Amino acid sequence: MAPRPLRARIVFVTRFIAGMLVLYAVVAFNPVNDSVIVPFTELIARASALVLGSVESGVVVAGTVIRSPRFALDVQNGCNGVEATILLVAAILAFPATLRSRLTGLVVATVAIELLNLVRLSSLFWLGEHHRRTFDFFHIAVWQSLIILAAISMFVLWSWKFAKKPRAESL
Amino acid sequence: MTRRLVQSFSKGATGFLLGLGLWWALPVPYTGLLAWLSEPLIRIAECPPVTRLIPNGTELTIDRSDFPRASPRPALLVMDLSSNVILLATLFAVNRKPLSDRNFAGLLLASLVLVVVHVAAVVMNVQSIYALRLGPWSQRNYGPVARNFWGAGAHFYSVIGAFGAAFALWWLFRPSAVPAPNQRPARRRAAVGRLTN
Repeated sequence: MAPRPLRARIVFVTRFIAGMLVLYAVVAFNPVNDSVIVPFTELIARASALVLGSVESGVVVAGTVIRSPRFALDVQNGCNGVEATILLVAAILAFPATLRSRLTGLVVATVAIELLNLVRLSSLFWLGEHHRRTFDFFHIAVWQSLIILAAISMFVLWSWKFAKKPRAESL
Repeated sequence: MTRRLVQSFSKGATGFLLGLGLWWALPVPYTGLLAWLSEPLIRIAECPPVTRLIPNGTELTIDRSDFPRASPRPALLVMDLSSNVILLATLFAVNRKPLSDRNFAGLLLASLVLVVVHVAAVVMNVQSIYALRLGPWSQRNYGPVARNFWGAGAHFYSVIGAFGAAFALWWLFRPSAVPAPNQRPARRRAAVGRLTN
């Protein structure tokens, strides 16, 4: 049998993976995608255009597409911050903590991720407009990793601050 | 708390840059390795075995001996599938003693498992291309359940599974913050010994 800390880690990872799969299945379900995720992504696109409007002129939004005379960016699933939120929610639910701590962590971290995602989308649009050659590199390598790292950092901070101490240490 | 955060941030930034450098510098040999490991797995499920994965720079070209000669071959970008190595390097760099033997051993084990994850991702993506992107051929050879399964699997990996895997591997293989019972300081063990004797 695995030693206790290892067993606790295996239990956490099993719960985390199960949580990710369930949450992914929920958001990938067509009715949920059409009635929740797509309108949410349109809202994110509008908010990004608002941010961009303070530094650029001629930025307009149509659905999930942010457009200017020189560049257009279609905000798709994977770029709306939902994937980082799923990872964070799965980790927080898998970790031993009180319901109140979990709710606090979920609300604060989700808002923070979406704010950071606005910075990601605005900076990617700006890069696409002014430095097209670096767009793919920042899109795939830099910002994706940074958003997920932000989600993991928030989870780790939350687990230091709010989680039930004795059981948290064994993880 | 603030000092710990600043330390973690600088260690994480260093790990991020190292992971980025590794991911940027080694895609060509890594594409060859993934082709070599994944091709036999795909061919196991085929009768007759017809798939060939041809490394082509940072791309894996998917060929089948039963494809018409003139038709274009689909390809996979291995760098997209393997970008989670940046996340894994960053997370191990943030650990308490990033240059310790235990941290390196953990990173090595996690990286080996990550290679297995990448092989699974290649298999999933090739099957997803077969099931969804080859028009009437896909419809003939894959039913609705198989098309949904392979399509959802490849999409899951690209949007969340890749990063979830890196996080889960870090969590499993990072050195424990609490020393194992047989690694506690000798003074403490002696004290316990006195109490029990």
